Amino acid sequence: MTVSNIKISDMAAYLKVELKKLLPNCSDLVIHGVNSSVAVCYISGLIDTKVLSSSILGVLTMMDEDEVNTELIRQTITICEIEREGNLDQVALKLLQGHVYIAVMDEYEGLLCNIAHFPTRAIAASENETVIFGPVLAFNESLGENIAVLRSYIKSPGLVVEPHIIGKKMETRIQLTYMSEYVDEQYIKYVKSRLEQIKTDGLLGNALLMQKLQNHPYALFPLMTLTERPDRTIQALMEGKIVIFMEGDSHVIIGPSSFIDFFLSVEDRYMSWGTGLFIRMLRFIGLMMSVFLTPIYVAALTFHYQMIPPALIVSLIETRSKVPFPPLLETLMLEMTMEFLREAGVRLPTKVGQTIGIVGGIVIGQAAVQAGFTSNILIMLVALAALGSFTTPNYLMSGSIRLIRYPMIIMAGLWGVLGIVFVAMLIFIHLLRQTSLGRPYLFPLFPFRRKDLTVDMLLTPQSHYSYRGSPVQNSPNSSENDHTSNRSSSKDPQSDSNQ
Amino acid sequence: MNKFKVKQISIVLMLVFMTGCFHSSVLERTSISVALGYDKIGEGKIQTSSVLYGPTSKEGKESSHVISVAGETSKGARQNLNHKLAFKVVSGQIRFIAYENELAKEGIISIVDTLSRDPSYGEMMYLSVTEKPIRDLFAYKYPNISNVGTYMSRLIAHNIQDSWVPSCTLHNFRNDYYSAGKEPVLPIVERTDKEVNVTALALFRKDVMIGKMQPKEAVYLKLLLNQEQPDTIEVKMPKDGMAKYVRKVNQPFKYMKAALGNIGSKSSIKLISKDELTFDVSIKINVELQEITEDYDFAEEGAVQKLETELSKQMSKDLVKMLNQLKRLNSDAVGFGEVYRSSVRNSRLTKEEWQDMFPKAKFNTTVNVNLIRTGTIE
Repeated sequence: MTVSNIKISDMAAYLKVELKKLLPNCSDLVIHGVNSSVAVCYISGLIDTKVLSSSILGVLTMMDEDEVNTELIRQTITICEIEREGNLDQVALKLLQGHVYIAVMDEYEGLLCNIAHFPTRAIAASENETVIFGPVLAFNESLGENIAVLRSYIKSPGLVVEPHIIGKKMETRIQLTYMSEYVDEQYIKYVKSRLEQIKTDGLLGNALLMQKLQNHPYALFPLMTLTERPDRTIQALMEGKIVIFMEGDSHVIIGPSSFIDFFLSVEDRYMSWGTGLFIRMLRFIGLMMSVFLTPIYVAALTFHYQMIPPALIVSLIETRSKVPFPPLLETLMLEMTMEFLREAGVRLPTKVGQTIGIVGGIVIGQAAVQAGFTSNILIMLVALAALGSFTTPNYLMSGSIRLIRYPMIIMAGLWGVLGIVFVAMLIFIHLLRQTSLGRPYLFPLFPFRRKDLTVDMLLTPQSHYSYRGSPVQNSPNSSENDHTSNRSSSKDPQSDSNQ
Repeated sequence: MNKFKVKQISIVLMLVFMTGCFHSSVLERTSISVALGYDKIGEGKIQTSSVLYGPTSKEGKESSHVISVAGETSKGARQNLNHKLAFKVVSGQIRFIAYENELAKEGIISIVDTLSRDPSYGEMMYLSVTEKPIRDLFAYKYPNISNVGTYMSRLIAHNIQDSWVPSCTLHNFRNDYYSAGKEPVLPIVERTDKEVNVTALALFRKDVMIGKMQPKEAVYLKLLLNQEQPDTIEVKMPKDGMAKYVRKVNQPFKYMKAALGNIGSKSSIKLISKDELTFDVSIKINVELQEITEDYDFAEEGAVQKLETELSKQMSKDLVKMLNQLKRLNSDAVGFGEVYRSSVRNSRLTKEEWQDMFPKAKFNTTVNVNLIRTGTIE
């Protein structure tokens, strides 16, 4: 399938025939004959047309038709990324990635010039992970730009960027990045072995890749962090974690993550130590409240009237006496209403979304009490629980927390506090069994590592400025901390899927 | 999903749904009792009165209603209580239980015992004794008390905290009842017209009430028990030694009274002689003078010291008086028997033995008053 073997008069006509065979349904393929011996082909929309007209077509048209050859073109064209290619199969693939192919009559190899220009949006402020202060920048969907943003923060040559390809058909490019001097080799091995095992046509977005990497289909909680904030990513890299960028996704995967990582925000470090510590503690109180508040209400009202303080019991009886449903049903209904409100608020266009607040606040809140549907106290508790779950900085995690509340409420209605303990135990067992890139999910708490916990929770003013609790763990038997991660990552990653 | 997983999930679901009907008591579908009272009506018959939460008035003020039933046992009475109510009676919120005088004099352990057998009763509820029938105390429509049941428990709690009433929870009572060297005490409550009062202490021998102790003596009992300390102590003492410090003799009385604010006290009881059964009882107390009935001149040299020694002397006398009363009634409310038991090796003291020994006990008392402040007026 080479050009030189066949005698033809027009290069463009020849390419049209040959490339149409390889890309039959590609109507946006452009084959443009500069003259009878030189032809240019590309896929419109994937390339930078300005560069094409100025640096390629401009040069080619100036050339004499008889003297033209690839070497001359290569020397004349002012584009950095040029390579020779004679195989039309390869050419077809490259065209789909935004290359321009220049073919010259009577020559075996043509030139592939990379002037790809995929549609992207500009780098903008983060919308989903907002902070009050600190850098507001968020990644966008362009892999190259994201890596550039990363490099603008970390200039060290120790920042490793390793390309991989995912998906047989979509051929998505991903980049594995880590700081070579901080990262634990086991995590890299783990990620690479997982990446090799992924057999799929394609993965749309990092969220799916994350699920493929953790490979726990029944995991209740996210086992790795997804973020679109560069500062969070940088911090993770400095902590010795692995970050995975994916082409076409503004979110990056950070791993390994432990349970408490999801309740920490980078912003905490921007504040003074005391404030930061206070806010972190506040989030954990919020977590407890959002998980336990309504189940305790159900349990106390259904079984444990002894638990209620005498000062509260009178007003509780009074509000409850008008409600026709048992506490379990009442709470489930109100919690579901809360979820409807939240989901509706997300799905509605922003301008309509404001009405949701009015509907939720006035109609459901006020009217439900007056209609004798729910008690005032429960409305307050449900609102508090919802507020508590909003304090979680990670969206995936707050979704999981909302989810585990329901079995707890139901069990509280069936068994009382015993049921709450029962569900809490199941959740704890589940948490203990999870691993993130082979590291236990409850990491600084189980196995207990005082130093890591202090750094993670900002328990001391000194921890404010340090990123890593444990010393660098590059050598295979450097410290005791490796012990657990060694054990869990050494086994076959597939075996984790049984959990 | 493999077979193992199906098994796991179905086991968990079976655990949840096959536990049978768990007995629930939904808050608004129960009659919550907050106080109980036992009266004696005739031979072997007990009248149980229960204070329950009543409907709340429009102003949000809580109310109570009282139901009385008769029965042979307290559980039987509770059964009868249910006949009168729309919802099942539950006892988990009971914080106050009273026994009528007549009942207490016959022994109340059988009723106390049922309380500790039922886990829904709290260990920290207060027990008391009344002189008149409890039904009368509960059922009276007090103008200023909305729920007499909760009011009683607050009344007792606050008097334990700040005044001369020793802790009288169910736990305390049972502990004293079963210990070899200590006897229980309970406060006596009474309705006087439109108010409720804690009037005195009921002294027990085992579970039988055998006498009363007036607040004046009870203060010393409380000081010896080393629990929460009474806020104020009133001492009435002869004037003679201090007469020279009194500026103007307003009152031609032989006695003067002082009210002392208790800042902190410490008491200790030591067994001195095992054979003669002699105890050293000492109280060290820091006080501030809150009130004195005479125009006492504190600026004078030696005046404060004199007052301190006089106070110590008088308090020591009062203490002896209290101890003698205990001895006379043979009710060791202080717990000298416990001191004896812990000081004498292999004593194997039993309640009966101690009851024979206690009246023979001798006490050396010392009270050490340290007057820290005399007030701001100079």
